[in-house]
Amino acid sequence: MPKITSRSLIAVSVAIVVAAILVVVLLDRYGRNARTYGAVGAIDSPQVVRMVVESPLDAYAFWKQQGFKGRTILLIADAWERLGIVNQADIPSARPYPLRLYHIPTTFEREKLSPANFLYVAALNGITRRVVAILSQPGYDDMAAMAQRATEARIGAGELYLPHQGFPRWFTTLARFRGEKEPVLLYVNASYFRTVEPEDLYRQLKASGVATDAVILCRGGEDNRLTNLERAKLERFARLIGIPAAKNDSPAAAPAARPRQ
Amino acid sequence: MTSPAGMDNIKNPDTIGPDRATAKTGPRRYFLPMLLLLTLLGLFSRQYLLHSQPVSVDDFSVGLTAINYVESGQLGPTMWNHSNLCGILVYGAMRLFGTGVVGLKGVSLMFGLFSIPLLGLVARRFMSESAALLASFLWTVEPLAIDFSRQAIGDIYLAFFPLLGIYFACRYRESRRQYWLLAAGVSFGCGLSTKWSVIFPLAVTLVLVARSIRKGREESGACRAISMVHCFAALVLLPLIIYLLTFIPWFGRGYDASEWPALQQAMYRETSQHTGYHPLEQDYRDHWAYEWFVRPITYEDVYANRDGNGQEGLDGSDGRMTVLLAVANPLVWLAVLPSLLFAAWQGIRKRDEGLCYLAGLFLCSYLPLALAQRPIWANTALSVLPFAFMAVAYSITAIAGNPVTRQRIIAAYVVAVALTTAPLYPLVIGKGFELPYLKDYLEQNYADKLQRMRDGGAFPSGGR
Repeated sequence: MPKITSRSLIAVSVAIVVAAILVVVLLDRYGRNARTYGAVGAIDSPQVVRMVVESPLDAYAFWKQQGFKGRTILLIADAWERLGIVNQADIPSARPYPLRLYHIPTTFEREKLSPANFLYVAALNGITRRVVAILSQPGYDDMAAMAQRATEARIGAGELYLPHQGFPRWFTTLARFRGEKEPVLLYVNASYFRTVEPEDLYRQLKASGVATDAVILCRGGEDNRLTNLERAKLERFARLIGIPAAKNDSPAAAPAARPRQ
Repeated sequence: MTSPAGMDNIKNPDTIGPDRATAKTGPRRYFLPMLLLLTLLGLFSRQYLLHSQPVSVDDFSVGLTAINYVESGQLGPTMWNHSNLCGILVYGAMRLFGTGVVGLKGVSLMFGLFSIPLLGLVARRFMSESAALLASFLWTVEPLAIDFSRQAIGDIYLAFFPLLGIYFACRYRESRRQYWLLAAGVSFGCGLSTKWSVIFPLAVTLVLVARSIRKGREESGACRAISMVHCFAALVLLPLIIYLLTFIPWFGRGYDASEWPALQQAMYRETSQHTGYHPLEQDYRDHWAYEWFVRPITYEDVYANRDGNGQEGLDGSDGRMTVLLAVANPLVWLAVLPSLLFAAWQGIRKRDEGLCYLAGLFLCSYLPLALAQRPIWANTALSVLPFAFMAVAYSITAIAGNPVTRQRIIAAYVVAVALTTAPLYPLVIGKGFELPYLKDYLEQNYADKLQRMRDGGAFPSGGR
């Protein structure tokens, strides 16, 4: 049996401890560096890209075009669109070798992207790594009821954590929203103004101190549940944050995002 | 090469059983050739007609999941709640060998194959060589081990990596060369990065190694303390590092270290409450771990494939049905609990650390599953079976003191297991429909089941 040298044991033990710390630190840095941001400011800051779009698909196209990666999306809408069965990865019934496997994110983007699943596809494609949803009270109550049956949900006072296959999703109401620590991609759907006035939303968002580099206001496209009144309120909100009335911006107008140092 | 059992025997002659004296002088001439022979038998049984075994929904999903995880850091679509070393390895294999059978299933096949000699080498450290060979034989012909060596999904890793870690830990215990302990840490880390259940054999091994350090011959208490710290670093921190590294693709999505615990928590919640992908009351497969060793059980994969004529669809309505049916051999599985009790009793009575370790490995691996409130399908038994089979092999070889009688008992048992397992082999490799004596049985029992699963929207299927 070889003589054990304490010095070598200490050296190896220290090396393992240092390696463990290094791995954590490097993974942390790696993750943070993977995020890309544009010019950041308050929701009504001139340097922040702000636009009104017709459809959620326009929002997706803008985020994609800007090269946003690893971001928090702050969704403001009346209710949460649930994912349908169509969002499962297709398994062909003929599976001969060599298998014709595919890349789920790009396939979904090409073949399945819709106003109902644009956030999911944004998650698949790495645009967002977490979603915070500010819903109306009925929309929140609906999610809270669903969360009662979910295995992964954590329900707090006016705040709900309901991840989807490990993807973090937070749900809350405007009254409970306390801001975000990092700049968000803000997306406001006209449906939110079914129960809330634009001035209230503007005031609360300003008070929360939320920072962003892209504000997208969505008129809702072909969503026939939306009324002209809600779209008019969306225009009012647009003016509050400094977007000229009825101006639909082209997604190409903004400068590309960059990694944040 | 002297086994710990052999070393113990030398130190304490009272513990030498009639069939353990062999361990004193290193491996007998027949041990390694026999192990090689079993490995060759295992190679045949695990790869025979594998290329023509239709690709299951799970197999295909594993390929998708591998690409999804490595290229996008996205967990899922299959088994998102488990850490994803399987996806990383399968992805690497597919990059090397393409998306054929080798790329998709080569890793499972390799681990399933290597686990055969590994089990023998590990068992030899706790018991006689004839017992070790018997344990290895039981594993070679075990339908569940064959089944999952032929599937892309990573359940067979749960047998391979803990065995590898245990083997290295035993080598460390014998030689005190620290690279064995580091290798054990890496092996257990790979196991943990497959499924968390590997934490149980890791914990037992940690206790074993710590105990041997405490009883060791280091010069001073300080040296022992340093060895303990080293042991902790190698068997706790090192696996944790490996585990963390398998999350590199996930971090690449922009997550930072503070978000990682929330993911682990979500994975834990899903794992602890998982009830399958279709209603449990419609799941007719055996799914309670406490039943594994008290009544005959099976594990089945039922799926349909269309021929590869270019037509694709999701319903599989006119596809060819495949049933992969792993039937646990009652001669082996029902012998597990009494054998384990016998081995534990012998271990305590003779103060045999190896047998106590074996009993600890089995109990710590099995009890959390047996006591779980959620359903656990028989595929998970692969994390327990190597220890169970070692206990069975030990008991069979220790029944008689007389060597001649003992050899006869072993031979009779081997023949009985082989005869009862052989008819089950076509079922495991999905060829049951091609044999008249099985075809009627399968059609009667599984055609309706496939239809029910299809009607219930159970594709993609699986209950892991």
